[in-house]
Amino acid sequence: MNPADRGFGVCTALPAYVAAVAELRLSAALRNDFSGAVAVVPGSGDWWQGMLAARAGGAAAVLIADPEMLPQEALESNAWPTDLPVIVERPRLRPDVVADAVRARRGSPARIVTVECAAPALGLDAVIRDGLGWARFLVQGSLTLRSGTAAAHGSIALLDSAGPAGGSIPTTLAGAEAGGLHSGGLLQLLALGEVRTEVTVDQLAGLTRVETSTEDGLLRAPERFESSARLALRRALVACSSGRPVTDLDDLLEDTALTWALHGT
Amino acid sequence: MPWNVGVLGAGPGVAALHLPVLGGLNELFRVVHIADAGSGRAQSLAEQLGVRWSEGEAELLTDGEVDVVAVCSPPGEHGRQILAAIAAGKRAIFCEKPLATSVEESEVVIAACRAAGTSLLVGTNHLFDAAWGRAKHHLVALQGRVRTISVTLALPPNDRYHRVVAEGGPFQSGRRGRPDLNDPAMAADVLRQLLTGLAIHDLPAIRDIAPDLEEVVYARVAPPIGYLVGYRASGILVQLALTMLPQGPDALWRMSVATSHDRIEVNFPPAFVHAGSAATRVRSVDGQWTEYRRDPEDGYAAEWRLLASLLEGVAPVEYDELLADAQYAVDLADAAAAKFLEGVPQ
Repeated sequence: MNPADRGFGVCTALPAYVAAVAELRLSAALRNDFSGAVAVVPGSGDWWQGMLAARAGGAAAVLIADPEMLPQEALESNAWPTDLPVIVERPRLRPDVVADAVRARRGSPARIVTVECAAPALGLDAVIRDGLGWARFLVQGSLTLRSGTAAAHGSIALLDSAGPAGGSIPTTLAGAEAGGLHSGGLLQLLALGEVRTEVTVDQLAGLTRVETSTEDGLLRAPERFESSARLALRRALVACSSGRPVTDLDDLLEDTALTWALHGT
Repeated sequence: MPWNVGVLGAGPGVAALHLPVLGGLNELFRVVHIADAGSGRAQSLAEQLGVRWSEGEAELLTDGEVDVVAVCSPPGEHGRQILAAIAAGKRAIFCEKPLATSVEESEVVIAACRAAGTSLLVGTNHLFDAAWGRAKHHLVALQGRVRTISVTLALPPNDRYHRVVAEGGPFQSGRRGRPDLNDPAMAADVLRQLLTGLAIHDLPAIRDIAPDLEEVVYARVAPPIGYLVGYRASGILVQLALTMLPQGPDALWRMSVATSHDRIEVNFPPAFVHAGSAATRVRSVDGQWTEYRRDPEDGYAAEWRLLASLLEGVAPVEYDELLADAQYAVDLADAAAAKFLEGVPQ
């Protein structure tokens, strides 16, 4: 059997993605060049340059693995690609976990969403960015910053989004710098209402938990055992084969812009 | 010998909360007289317990058997009734929150209690919850620098909990109809009442950590009834969120304190029920989660036990702290209401 027939090409040296390719034996195969392949770009450093280089190299899709916070200058100055699928792996904001949380609400709108983030200073913005992403999904719309302030080692903000019947759904955010060396941090969300969703993502503790409470009791979503990398790679392969648009990059840029806006309050 | 208690007020808080709590503490307290404005509830409650009842407050205050007056009337009556109890020579006063509705009234009440040597305790029950005591000890012992404090409340109607601790009803205070939150003045008043009536359970604990109110950053009234308030005090950022729901899951009442090296979460049980103390868990920066056991006794029983200690002279009455707590709540409520009105299009 010709190795080229085994599956869609994936160009990566990241161990998590090499492992993911091995876990997708029928649909993916490792390649050494970008051309026609899914190019996996590490999310560290100036990952946006890597993304642009992969597109220039003829990649069929780009997958950005766990991107660090995009600098404000890069956010404002880059022409972001629209001509190929860009999948963004955000381990704190896995689409399958988000879907579990949203589905369990059964369409019941949130009245208030609270987002609390704690992480060492270098990683805090990325945790806040992903917390805002979670809020965006839970309110099912874009967030607008209304007010906020920062202290020496923390910040709070009030945001809102369009709600049912012309109303709005407020979201509060609290971010706190914590000690420690691991940048993963802690993310906790509450979507309050007739149905309550509680999300806890603690990368250092290896904990991702979604709980949905109603008058009937509490439902905890099953743990997702598929690796974040494999899930992202599967989504990239589906994007390539289906041609359906992917909004990951737009979502990431929206959440990033909002995070930077908090600094301006 | 137990101390004899006269109760002013006969609403759901008395029927569902204080009378059962005092019944459970009968080695310390004995209810001897219940009075209210004439709704008939005082008579009903008193007859069931086989104690005296009256209309108005004069008869209760002149009842020589009453040592302790429990002020459980509407907030606007508290200050005046405390002064009347002091004038009647009562030994101690338990006042449901809030102590008074203005800073000036609080000052007058505290000065009068201090001058007469009257013991006073305000029923902000979370402050007396053993779990909060341990959480505060944790904060002090580990010397973590506090970054943010969040208090989040999502409350179903109280009658869900009244029904498991009381019988017969009615379980709702006299309904005044839903306020028109589109009227800015009314919405600001609702915000003020919610902060001095509900948030006040936690404000003394917050003041312990963040005493100096600097700035209200945002204040919003959230339909159907609720609030979102963010403020800065002593350099610490504080967020308060409340939504009162027509239905939904059991009450969430959570205080979170994020420090430089951990995050402490205190989950209080629903109001009125007796499920023990709050549940506390701590997440340290190394990703370790620790959950602490609940104390079997809740803040309601703890606050009455403390009042007994005040009466016995075992613990001092903290007049200055009580006044500072009252001022903090009123100042915050006033500043939040002003901030809210500032944001209303004219």
